[in-house]
Amino acid sequence: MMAEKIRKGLLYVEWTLAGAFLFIMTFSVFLEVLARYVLHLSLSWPEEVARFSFIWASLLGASIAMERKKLHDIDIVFEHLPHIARPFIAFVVNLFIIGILVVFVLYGAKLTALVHLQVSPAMEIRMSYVYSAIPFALGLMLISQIFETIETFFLLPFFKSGEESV
Amino acid sequence: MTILLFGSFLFFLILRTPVVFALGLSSLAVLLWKGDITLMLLAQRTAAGLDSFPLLAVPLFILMGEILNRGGCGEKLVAFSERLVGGVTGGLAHANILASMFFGGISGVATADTAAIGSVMIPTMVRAGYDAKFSTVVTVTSSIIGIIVPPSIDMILYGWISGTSIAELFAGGIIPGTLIGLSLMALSHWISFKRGYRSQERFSLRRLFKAFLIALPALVMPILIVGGIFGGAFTATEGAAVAVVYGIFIATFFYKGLKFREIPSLILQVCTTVGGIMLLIALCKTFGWILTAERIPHAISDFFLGNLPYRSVFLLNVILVSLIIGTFLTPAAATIILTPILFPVATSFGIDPVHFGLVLVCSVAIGHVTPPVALTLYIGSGISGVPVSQLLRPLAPFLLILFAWALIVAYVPWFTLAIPSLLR
Repeated sequence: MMAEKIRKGLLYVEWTLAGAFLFIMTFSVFLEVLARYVLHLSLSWPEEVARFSFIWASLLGASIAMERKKLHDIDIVFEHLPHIARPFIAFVVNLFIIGILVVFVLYGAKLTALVHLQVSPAMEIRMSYVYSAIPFALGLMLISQIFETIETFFLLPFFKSGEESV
Repeated sequence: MTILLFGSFLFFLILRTPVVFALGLSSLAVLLWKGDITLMLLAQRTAAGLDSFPLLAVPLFILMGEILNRGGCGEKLVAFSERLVGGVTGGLAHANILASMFFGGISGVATADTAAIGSVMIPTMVRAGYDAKFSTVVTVTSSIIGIIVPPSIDMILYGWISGTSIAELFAGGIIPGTLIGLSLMALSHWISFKRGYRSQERFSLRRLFKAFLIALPALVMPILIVGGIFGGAFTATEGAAVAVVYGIFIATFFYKGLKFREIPSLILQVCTTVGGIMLLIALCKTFGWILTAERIPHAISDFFLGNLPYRSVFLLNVILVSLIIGTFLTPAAATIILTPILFPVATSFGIDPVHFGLVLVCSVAIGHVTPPVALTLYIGSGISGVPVSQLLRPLAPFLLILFAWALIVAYVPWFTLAIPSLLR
């Protein structure tokens, strides 16, 4: 129950933030076109705003796709594997995914620290604000993946048979 | 190293790992094996992979398609197509294909197209006495036209990865996309004639004009965007942003189909689609870097130039590989993975980048309807309720036409290069 609530809350946060970035992204590109054709101004900052919000929206979108289990996979072989093996495989694959997400969060955070002093050319904001999208969004993915893995862990056959014997 | 990269990729795919993570894990395996490269590279390339203005066109076109879809554009285009060609033998089948061509000019995602047109068209066709299998097959096969005619998400992805002009790729898709639509219509006409699907409505200029006026704002949109991009008024990304704002305007005020309370679920849908593609793009940068570092495309082109130095043989291989990969993956994923491997080889054969892009994207698109696993087939079958296994026979003649087009696109470059050469 608790886990369910946390996962719902996470999705809500990702959803709101990604929507906001999507909105900012769209309208800054539109603004740039408008400024060029209507006001005859060549603005440089909207492009940068758009690119940075795009990075945030994409990675948050990826965490939404993951939470909603909408990341594309190929199940044609998996469905022909013996029933008994499937929960084990699903569990091990989930562990591997945790592994790669940990690598991303760790090195994403390191990278963010590394570029902290750099500033962007047009708006002169710290690049760490942009790069922190990696540890942040993939960190959210990691949390939902941990919940997912725990769920698949309890689907393993020896737990099921244990329940039945009780 | 090559074996480790592709072997682990395949291994994870078979075990039902999401494609993105299979790609990431196999890249990680190679980086760890080499040991001399810091893993920082992985994170850095992920951010760098997404930091691109041309790539922004992808989420914007997806957003635009979703807005118009929910705004009821699909129905208006279907109504117009019905009035236009509904009077001919097999009229509704023609209307279905035509609506796909119009809608493809708007959305650029085949699955969206199948859902938008199919949910209106399949029930209408069945009610009018058309066979449910035939209706599903017509919907599914025509929906891939959306991948080929501009604006196309997959062309943007190919153009971005290979460094090819997106405007020229868009231009290249116009003739093949239109002709594929027309040849599918010819086949449907023949089948309808044989089975006696007569039209039930009489052609009426007044009703056509009325439907035309209603569909007009949606019809002018692709012309506006594509014209603006070709004319150099704006880039693909800027055109897409203008289209989103225009789309919001017509969907809310003109068609009044888009309700305010639907916006959160629209955002959720768009973010899910965009996130799935973009994470793949981000990880693909590392994958591509490993490919280059290991000189894998180089090895492939050496093999071909040494053993089979014929452009035609190479292109045939490209078609086959793209068809196979295209059945298993979404067109976007297939394009993202295949382009960095095959594009350098195509360059060494001196194949025009625009022409090669069309060959790749068309084959991947056709793979998207090739049984048994293709995604659009399942979406179509979900709408009509006909199981995929029963669709295979009626699908065969349509697939043959599509395969023929894959070969024509590959071996007659005129079809793809006639319009782009006007832009050069």
